Amino acid sequence: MDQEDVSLPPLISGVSHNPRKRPRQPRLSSSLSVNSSDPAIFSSDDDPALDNYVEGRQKKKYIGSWYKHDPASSSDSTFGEPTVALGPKPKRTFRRDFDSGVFLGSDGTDSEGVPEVLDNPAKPRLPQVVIPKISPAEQKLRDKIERCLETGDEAIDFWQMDLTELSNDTIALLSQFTHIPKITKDVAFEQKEPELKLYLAQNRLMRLPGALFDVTYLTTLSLRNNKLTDVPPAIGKMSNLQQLNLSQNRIRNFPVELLDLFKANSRLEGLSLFPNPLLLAEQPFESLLDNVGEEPFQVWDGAPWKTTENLPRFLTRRLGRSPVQATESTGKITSAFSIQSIMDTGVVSVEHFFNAKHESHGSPNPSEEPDVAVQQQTASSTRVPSLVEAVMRSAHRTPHLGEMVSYIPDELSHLRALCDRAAVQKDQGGLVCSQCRRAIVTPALEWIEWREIRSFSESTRFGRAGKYRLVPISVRRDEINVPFIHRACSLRCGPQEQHAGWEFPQGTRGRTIGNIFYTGPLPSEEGTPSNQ
Amino acid sequence: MDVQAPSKYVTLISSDGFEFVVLREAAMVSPIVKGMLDPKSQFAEAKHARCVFQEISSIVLDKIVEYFHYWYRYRNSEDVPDMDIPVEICLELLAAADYLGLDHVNLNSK
Ligand SMILES: [Zn+2]
Repeated sequence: MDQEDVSLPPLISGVSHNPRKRPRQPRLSSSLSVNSSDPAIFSSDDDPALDNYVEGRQKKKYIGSWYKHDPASSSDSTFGEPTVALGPKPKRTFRRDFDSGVFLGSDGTDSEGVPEVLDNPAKPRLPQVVIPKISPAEQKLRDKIERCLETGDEAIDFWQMDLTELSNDTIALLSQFTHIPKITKDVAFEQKEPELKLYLAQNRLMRLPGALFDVTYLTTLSLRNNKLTDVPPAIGKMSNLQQLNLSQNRIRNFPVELLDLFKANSRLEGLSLFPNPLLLAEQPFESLLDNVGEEPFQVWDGAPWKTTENLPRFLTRRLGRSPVQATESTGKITSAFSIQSIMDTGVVSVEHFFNAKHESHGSPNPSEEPDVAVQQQTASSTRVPSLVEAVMRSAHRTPHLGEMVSYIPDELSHLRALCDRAAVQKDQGGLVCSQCRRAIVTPALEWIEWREIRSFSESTRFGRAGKYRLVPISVRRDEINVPFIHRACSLRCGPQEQHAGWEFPQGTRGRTIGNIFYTGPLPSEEGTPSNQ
Repeated sequence: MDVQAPSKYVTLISSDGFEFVVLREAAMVSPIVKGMLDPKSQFAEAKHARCVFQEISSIVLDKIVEYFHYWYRYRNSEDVPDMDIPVEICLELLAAADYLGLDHVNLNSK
């Protein structure tokens, strides 16, 4: 038997890490003049393989961090390696490294020296910070924000200004807002959090920068009539948002994280999602929509006390879900169903209808588990990510993700595409697992779930002030089923067996039985109100 | 060919000659390693439970071995900590992981 048969296909040589084969470049420590503090000095010991001793070894010493070295000429940057290795390997020349600290004439090159190399113009070794050019429209927005900052104006009106792109840098300016208290005579100095309002309606934005979702004090965000195709899941972080308008865009589905804005610790009151070209369910959810057009939701009038604390502002319920798309960590879809393939028609088949549930309740007490889901263990799965995904998550956490792309050789184009996608995602605030909320790069599973949303509003009709009703957020039939995209880190976070009853957002109280909403205990429990 | 129980541990060898001893079951998460060490095969690798990776340096192979143990330890856990990967080796590790078929786990776990 030929034992050599078992040799594997070669790994792309461009990414091998072999410190012995790299060309040496003379370098100047010009970064000394750039950094105010002393740069770190580190050395690289070659491995003790035999040919080191044959060739003669020299300890290399580098100043500063690896990423400060110019990758194209650097011999120590990991990322620089593929670029170097792709072409013919330059012949190694035995020239002195001026920062090597070795001036002992061991290799007989004492006569050549510092002056010769100093002829090269000294270039700062810090990475060249390319200041991205911004459009005139975005510059106008920056000027506007700066003017608002100076005057303390919290409403930034930027309607119909031909804005096509919005960078993280521009949005980051908004984070500088601090409230300027109005000083009135005889009134105590009052400290109040700013309430920023950003009106970007009727522009041509196609995507949103991730920094937008970190502007803590944003209370109003209008993106009406833009060209958005996606809403990043990071939108769920905007817990101070009171008004959100996403109407008249090109949105096909919303991230399920949007529902975080309904939680008790969020402040959302007004939500506009329509019209948008949303994904439609192939099979109707008729049986669940019987009460549309009638009195939408009755409220039990007999509550012996009134409470408005922790009442939900929105209730949702699941109607059905699409088949599940499964993806390998490199981005290869392995399931028959793919979300991309249904984008043309915009119609998706419903694989699962959720079972109706007559009763449901919420609780402001987090320890009291709301009856949302029956946890289902999938025995043959694990939460451990693949190594490809683990590396990508790790790279995603560093500021160097964007640089990685340029060092991947052409032969590994699928990995380049993966890094490209990760960089775009990061720019928009990143993805999370919809179930466990872990930051992820490539969701193992994705599916569409349709939900009905109703807003919870105080009824003033028929003198019923203090009573509440649930109003559909749209009366159009095709806008009752709102598609949400779920992303899962692993099979364990995949679709669960869940009910179609009204789901109370985390931390909200109340109870529904059929079409009646109760703010307090049930009529049968009426005798013992626990005024809580 | 001898029919004997496969060894509990296998040895993985980097391009620069470092040897890593790994629990066989942990290393099996890679379909490529699994194929190389399949006891039913006639490969020398399988016989001696040793795999040489001519294209993977010890720095990278060390991290791959760490991943094998990480997977083995947490494969049935609910709470899985993030693996810490230095940015300097991200690119090489990514290419090596892709090469070893470590781009999915759901089918391999038990
Ligand atoms: Zn998860």
